[in-house]
Amino acid sequence: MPAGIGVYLCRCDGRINEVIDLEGLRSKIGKWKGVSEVRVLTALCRPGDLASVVEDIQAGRVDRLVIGACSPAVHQESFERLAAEDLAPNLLERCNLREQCALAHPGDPAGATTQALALLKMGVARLKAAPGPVIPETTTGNRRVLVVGGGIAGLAAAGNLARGGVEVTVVEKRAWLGGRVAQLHRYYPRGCAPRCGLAVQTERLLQSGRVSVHTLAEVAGVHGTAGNFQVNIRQHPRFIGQECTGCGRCEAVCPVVTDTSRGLPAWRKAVLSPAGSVYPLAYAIDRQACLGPACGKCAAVCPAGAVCMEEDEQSFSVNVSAIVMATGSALYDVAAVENYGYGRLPGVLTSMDLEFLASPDGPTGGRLMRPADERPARRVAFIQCAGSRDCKHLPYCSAICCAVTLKQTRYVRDAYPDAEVTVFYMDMRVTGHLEEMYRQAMDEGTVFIRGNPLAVVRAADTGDLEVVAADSLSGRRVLVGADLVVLAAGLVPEHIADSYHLAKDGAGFVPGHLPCSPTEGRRAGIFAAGTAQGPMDASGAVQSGLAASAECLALLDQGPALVLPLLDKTKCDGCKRCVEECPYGAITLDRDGYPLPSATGCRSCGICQGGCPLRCIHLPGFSTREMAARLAAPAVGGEEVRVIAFLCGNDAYRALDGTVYPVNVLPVAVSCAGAVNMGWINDALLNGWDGVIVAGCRADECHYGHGPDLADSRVAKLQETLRSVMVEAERVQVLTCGIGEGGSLAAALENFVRRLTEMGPSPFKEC
Amino acid sequence: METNLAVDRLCFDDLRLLYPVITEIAGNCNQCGRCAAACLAPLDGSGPAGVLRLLQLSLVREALEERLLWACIGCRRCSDNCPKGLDVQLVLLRLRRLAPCRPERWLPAGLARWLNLAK
Amino acid sequence: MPPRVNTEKCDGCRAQDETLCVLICPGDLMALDTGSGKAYCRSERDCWDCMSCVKSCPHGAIETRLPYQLGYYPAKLIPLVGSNKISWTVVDIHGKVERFTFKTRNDD
Repeated sequence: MPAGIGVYLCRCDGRINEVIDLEGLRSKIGKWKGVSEVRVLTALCRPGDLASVVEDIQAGRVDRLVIGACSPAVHQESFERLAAEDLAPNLLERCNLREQCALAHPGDPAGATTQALALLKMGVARLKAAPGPVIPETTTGNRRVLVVGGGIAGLAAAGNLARGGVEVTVVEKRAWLGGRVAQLHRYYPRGCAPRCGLAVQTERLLQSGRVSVHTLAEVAGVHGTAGNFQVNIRQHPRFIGQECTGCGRCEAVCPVVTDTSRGLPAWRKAVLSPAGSVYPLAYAIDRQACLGPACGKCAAVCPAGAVCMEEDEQSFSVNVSAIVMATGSALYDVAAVENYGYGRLPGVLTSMDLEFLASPDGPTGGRLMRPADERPARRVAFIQCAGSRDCKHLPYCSAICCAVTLKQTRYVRDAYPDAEVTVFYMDMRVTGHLEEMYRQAMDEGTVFIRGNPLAVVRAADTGDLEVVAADSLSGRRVLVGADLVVLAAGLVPEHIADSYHLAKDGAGFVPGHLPCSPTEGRRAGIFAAGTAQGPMDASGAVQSGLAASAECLALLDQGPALVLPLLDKTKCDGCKRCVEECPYGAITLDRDGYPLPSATGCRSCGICQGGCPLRCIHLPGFSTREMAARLAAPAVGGEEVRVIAFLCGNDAYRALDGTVYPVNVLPVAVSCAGAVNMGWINDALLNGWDGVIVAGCRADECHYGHGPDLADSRVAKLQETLRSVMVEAERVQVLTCGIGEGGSLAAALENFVRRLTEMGPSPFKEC
Repeated sequence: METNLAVDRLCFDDLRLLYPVITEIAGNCNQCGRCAAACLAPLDGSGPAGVLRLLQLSLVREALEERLLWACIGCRRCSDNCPKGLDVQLVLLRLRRLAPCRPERWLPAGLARWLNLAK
Repeated sequence: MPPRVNTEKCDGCRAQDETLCVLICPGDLMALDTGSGKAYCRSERDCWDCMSCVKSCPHGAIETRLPYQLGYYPAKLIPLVGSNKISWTVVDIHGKVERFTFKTRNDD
């Protein structure tokens, strides 16, 4: 037996009651069935008045609350605490009598009062139809995280998590940890050898005792959702067992020499060495290149007997709460830029090739020379933006190539102090203190030519390489001879399978949602780190790894109380549209095939509610009955145009606060434009509302990703249906606005009301 | 020979009204210089990028006086190699419609003097 | 007359294996074409115009045509489904529009 609804109207120290006749409302509302208390108070935000409301609840006089006061966008803390401690959030209804009523209709107190009455009526009707209290859930996942990728970003994330007491599984597809950074000769800003930094990161990991590292392992499948992922992992064989001491005798006798890049001659063996990596200190066999047991030279010479050609692939799975995707990137294949002759002309290298060349473990033992004819590299030309910022190749800038080139001019100077170094650039993008590298390069005599070269050619007579360019600053054409030409190629991300459902940008990176959630992709519980997010240097990668690890922590420990969608299983027929449309992949299926929202993945956007054709999944407060009651409550049968406007709580609703808009429009706050169910619009029209507005953020600004796109396509189809039932499709409109664009939203509403007045009353009004 | 005074006073915005395609292209050029390297015309100077730069600086008269406008042979190496996919050669060609005929700019100096055309 | 699916509006219920129209048809006549990802009626002669599919489609992508005895092509019978009301819009062959709204007992 419900105690009754309490309606509390706030004078707001006069701001509301000087326009709206609160006393008149009070006497009307007092007569409504189901309302057990209605009072007018001076200022509900102040402790005294609020305490009297709490007293009413605690005395059992009311168990559902309508607060007619300021906008729900303000004073959230006090009312939310009230709801959390003494009520339940779904049994509190806030009616915006100030920003969207009293202040929105200056000079029309009668209109404002009528609108206030309608808003309160809707609120009371909604509460009457509400089921009992819905208490928000909190759950925690287990304290395990999977880090995919053992490069520097993954290592930073894993190390940080491990030190925080989390169990980490690191899965790396290559045979060693360290990723691209391990392949570098030096890295900036200090020009140190990466082994040092990688050793630091790796030791942090291993010393914690909480990390299990799997190299030559790949993720085969991810199931489940944030807080509860099941990940299947495929372990490829190493063919060299744990007895390996890293002595290197196998590599010395291996007869196979394989290609690793187009710019360098083949120099790697089929037995791969750890080289710049720190862990594990063991060799691995590249079975593709290896001649197999028929050769057997490595097995014969291994003092530890570690070679094992008959190893099989293995699979295993892990159960984790969160996943860090630190899958990294690779260099763009600049052979596609035909004019530069990569792979065709000897002596044309990529920046990565130069790292190998400069490294003591490389093809020339660290001597900078052209490998084909051993000509010393005394004249080196660097070409920036090779295949970047180019509409035919990579349209974006890879951020690090300018700094990388400046770092590499050091390699040349260290080898040959009076070398001729030329850098062809479009813009030198070296930010912050890295400017020092630029200054130093110029000081040392590096020539910078502002001109993107047309081509790299081989001079017919000398066989020299020549770079053909024009210096845009002097307007002169230049032809520069070089022993080595280094192409500063851009980065492309390593492929992440679509089954992860991460939101990728046009280039395949997972940039996150800046600035709000930089590492979180569209799939809840999966955090991108390092160059998987976008081009960045090693420092940036470490920082983003640490950021991702911090984001994971929220899933492991007590998360915030979230409002989960409620499912009516008696109505659900398993069409799974909610599962598909959830922007976070937070809905999985339970054992019986019914949708199961995850407390750790769900962000209460309500997009599932908006799409459900049977209206059986909804956020608390937005059930079919409650919305139908809301829409049927105010009197809409009369002459006046009546519009119901569903406004998204992030932008549109807040934008409308404080504007002047037509009194015929009754606003309802929803979590997202994508949370508006077309059934509500049908109900509104069938109840005699003349028009319906769905207003939300712009498509690229939606916090939940694709809410506006869904609203657009759903309404477009509804408009088609309206046309076929001979109703003007314009009666339902989708509007977009940013949080500061209330003025244009109000103007659009005014236009809408005017148009509806011209169109005449809704055809459903007479039925 | 009479010069076209109105053309002498054109600015970038006028060009946008007259030939929006020119300002669309010129406005997008980031002066990388590849077209200048690719250009086959045997001229000194900044090449097609230079002409676009003059337009960007609203120095329309100076752009119209560039010899390159008339030396362009239409090989389209500039347009083909532009990393932003801009049709550079089209700009040079279109500008010819506006370039005042000043034979003293492109006739050999001796001939211009003989014809009393040199200043 | 068989149900016609408007392929522009139909999204195959997000390409799940049983779309809503497939689930509801009492004669099991609707099917999902896995190639195009759209629903279609796989046995038009057996349709008895119950219009369950029309009512169940969330996008209103299905339309049944009235048999010629009742009005043939220009005539239409289209429902608009609310949570506790349904409104049938009838357009006869002369273009005259009538609406009939009924309370349903679909809400709990």
